[in-house]
Amino acid sequence: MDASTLTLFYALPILAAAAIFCVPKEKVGWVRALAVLAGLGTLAISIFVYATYDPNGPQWQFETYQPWIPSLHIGYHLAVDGISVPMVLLTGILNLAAILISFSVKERVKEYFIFLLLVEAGVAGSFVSLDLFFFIIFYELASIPIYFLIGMWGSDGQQASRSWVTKREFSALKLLIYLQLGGALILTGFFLLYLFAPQAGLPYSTFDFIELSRANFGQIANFSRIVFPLLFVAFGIEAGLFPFHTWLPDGHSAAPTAVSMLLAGVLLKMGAYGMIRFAAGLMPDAGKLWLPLFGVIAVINILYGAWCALKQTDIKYIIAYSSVSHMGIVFLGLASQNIIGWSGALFQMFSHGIVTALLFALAGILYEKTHTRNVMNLGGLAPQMPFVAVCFVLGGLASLGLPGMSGFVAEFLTFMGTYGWMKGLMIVSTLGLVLTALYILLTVKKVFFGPLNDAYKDETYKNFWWEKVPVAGLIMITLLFGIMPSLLTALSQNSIGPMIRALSGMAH
Amino acid sequence: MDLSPLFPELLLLGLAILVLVIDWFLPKGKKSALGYIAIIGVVLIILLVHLAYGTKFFPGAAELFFNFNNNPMVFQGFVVDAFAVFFKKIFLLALGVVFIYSSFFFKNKGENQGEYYALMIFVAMGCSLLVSSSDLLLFFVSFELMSIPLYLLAGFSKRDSRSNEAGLKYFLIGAITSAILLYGISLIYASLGTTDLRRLVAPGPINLFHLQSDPVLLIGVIFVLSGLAFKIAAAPFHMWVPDVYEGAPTPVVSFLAVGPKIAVIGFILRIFISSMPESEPLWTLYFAILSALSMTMGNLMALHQTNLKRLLAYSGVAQIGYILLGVAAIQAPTPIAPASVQIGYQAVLFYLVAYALTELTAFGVVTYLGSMGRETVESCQGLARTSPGLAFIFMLSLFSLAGIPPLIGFVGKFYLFAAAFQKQLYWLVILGILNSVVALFYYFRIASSMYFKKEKEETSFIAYAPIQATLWVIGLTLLIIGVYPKTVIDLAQSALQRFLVGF
Repeated sequence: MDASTLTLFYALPILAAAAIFCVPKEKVGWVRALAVLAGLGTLAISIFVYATYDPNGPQWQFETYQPWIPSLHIGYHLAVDGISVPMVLLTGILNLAAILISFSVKERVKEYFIFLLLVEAGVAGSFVSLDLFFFIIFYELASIPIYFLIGMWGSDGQQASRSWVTKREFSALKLLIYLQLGGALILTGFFLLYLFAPQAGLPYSTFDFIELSRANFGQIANFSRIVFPLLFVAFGIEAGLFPFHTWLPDGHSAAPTAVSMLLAGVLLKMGAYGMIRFAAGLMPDAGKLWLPLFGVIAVINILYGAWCALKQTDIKYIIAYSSVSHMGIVFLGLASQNIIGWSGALFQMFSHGIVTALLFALAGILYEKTHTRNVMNLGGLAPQMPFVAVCFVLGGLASLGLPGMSGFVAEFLTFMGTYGWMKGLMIVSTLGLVLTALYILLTVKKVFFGPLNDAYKDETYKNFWWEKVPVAGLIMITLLFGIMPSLLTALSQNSIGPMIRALSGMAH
Repeated sequence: MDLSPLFPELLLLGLAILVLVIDWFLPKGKKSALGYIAIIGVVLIILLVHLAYGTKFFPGAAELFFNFNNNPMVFQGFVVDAFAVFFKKIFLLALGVVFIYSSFFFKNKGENQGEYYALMIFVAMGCSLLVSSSDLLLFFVSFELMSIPLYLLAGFSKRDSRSNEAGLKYFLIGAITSAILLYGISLIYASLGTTDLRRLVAPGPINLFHLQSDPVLLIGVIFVLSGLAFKIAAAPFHMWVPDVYEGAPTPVVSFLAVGPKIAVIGFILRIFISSMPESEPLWTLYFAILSALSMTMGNLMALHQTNLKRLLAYSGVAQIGYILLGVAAIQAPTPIAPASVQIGYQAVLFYLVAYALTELTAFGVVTYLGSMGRETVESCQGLARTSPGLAFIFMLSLFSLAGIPPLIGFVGKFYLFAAAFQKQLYWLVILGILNSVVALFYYFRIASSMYFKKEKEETSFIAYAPIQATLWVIGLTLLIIGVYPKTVIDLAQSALQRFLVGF
């Protein structure tokens, strides 16, 4: 079990996708059942990994290794450490939630679930693979199907379409080009690491992460100074780093609900994870040099994202820009280069994944019922749809960092870490919290309170079980980790420690 | 005289004559039987070659025929080593696949099928001879044997004016190419007094590398290189490609895109860089520039194409650019680092296999679509709804051309870039990676047309089991090798065993 756990973790969705491929397209029930089975399976595996990972044991657990292309030193190498375990748990949770919320898809259901499951497999694989070659494969597996998901099942929204292409095709193409450009830069960075490994103290060039992490890239003059920002920005494109974030609002708003959830919930985290694992993890010496600059960009992310969110009227754009703002907190935590800040960043990655997926799920449900996403057309919906209203308020509060919710812990830790590092930045960035509270509360007020729009007066809305279960589940998880943050922080301490020591120059 | 080293070519010749003879006796309505005969014949030849040259799969049977694996057999300017056999197998497989497409293409057209199959077999025979030739004269003869039937084949749809244009254009350009090539060869002969490649590349006073001191030799080599570049359609020698691809019958294009190009690359691998260590920097620079131009021009020109075959033509120019990137990345083999351990050689051979499989898949789908009158990107609209299987395979092949994991094209490009990085051709790799991003734009234009758009008018599909089965098999092979590339890499490595030893 131990060796094949992680293989199963990403292979289950692929197997389900292959099985769905063979099911006739009229049998929607079968398709959904297979997808849910895969979702339940991955969730079970992720909980198993989370529960059995021993934070005081060796750093890498559930390890499996198989030579793959020996001539290039590529191996099939999977393992998790304290940084990837929370991401594995997040992936497991959101995979199932996204599958359930997708029951609302009525058109071309079979193809939809195939593409969705492939994205989920890609995300799952990228968090557990320790070989750079396989990481690239999973990265692409996670991003290519999204193009089809947005183009085929996306919505055109309220934005005017360009003459030559519909809004959703435009968004899909924009997302594709940004993510592929990021992928190309990542590939370049990985090749450079591969090529220079012998000069950094390794016996041969290799794509294996664990072997690369034994190398000291700092001893090659100027190497890490160039490659670190290259990789950091490459992953930053996927994580929504300013000024490469513009694909994010367009992509999220045009995407179908489940894809928005996955994009904001786990794909952005893949970028941040890559920054931690490959950029900071392999070239700590350059991290010390560059991270202060990225700290400044992080503050721009926080403030600019929040400001844009405040100005939007499309509810999906609001949530998408809030993601830009919240990813800024992750970058800020990383830039602080201390254990508290990094714990905060990791916690924010998990917490934001859950909260933003929750908000996107609710926005999707809202759109299903009202057929508009413009907050100006909505209003007073709280009595009409109490379940959605209550959940949205809770999600909003988690997003703005109310104590007792997971968002609070994350922001608290991050700002505390930043305070110890650079007081000025921390003080400026707390302004973002004020803006966040403002746009969240304003949105809640415009949508759910105030006078009821006449168009919705006589409507009664029923929530299906597949809407209630994921939404309620996500709220429980936010509360659980908000009240007991040590469930996550205790896991990652021992994995973060050595990286922080390397960053501060104490390891060598 | 022992003719046994020639036996794959002799078998092909026999098959061509057999097809022509049977053609006389077949009544007019039954000509499609020729296609099946040709397919069965090629399959049998593949099996025989496989048995004769021995593989891991049939270790015992190899002894029944000849044993070439261990000692390359050299025969009157003709060399059969593991390297040549590797290429011969590619050509034979491609020929078999193309014949399946052809039998579909000619299903409702009865014209001149006997000549068609015979000419195609001659092309494959020429390719097969070319990779084995170690004398410039034999090289030129096999080059012509490979080219001349293709001029006829390009114009084979004689009632289609575009096909006529393609044939004529290809012939004119081809004739000039041959003239340049032959002139180059004669200059080399004038300068060095021999056409035997083994003597031309051997160390000593008479060899091909005293370029700086001998302007006649320099011009000769430049002419030969230009002739080769024309044949593989590397930019700036690529202008014949779009018209020929568009006009020629699609099954012909699918072989034209694979066979001759791969054969010429094989010849280039054998001669330049590999056997000329002294002038390695010069060749590296030459192929790097050719590669950079081909990648960039091919991709930029493909962006605006609306015809599928023209688009694939320019994408083919870009693909040749990637292959030449690998050629530039190889290093002259030394006793310490023979070809079989160099990732540059492995990368090129791997990418050639990837290229052959991917182009065959893509052109197979285009053949299928063309039979319904669908030739443009726009006409692919709604394909994912009307025939999801075909759309899926087309998507796989396009993604493989674009180099998206986990398909074979990705592994190939990854390998090529790693090799070029190791030779410190940084600028070229970065250009190549950026080019792959540009290429996404037009490959995804087809994908979005197939998947996002609704069909404009209903068209019925002609069901034909052999081509559908073939497309599924090679389509899934792209995926399977992409996920587990080790088998093909092992093949490439074994093809490079003893490469150039005794040459």
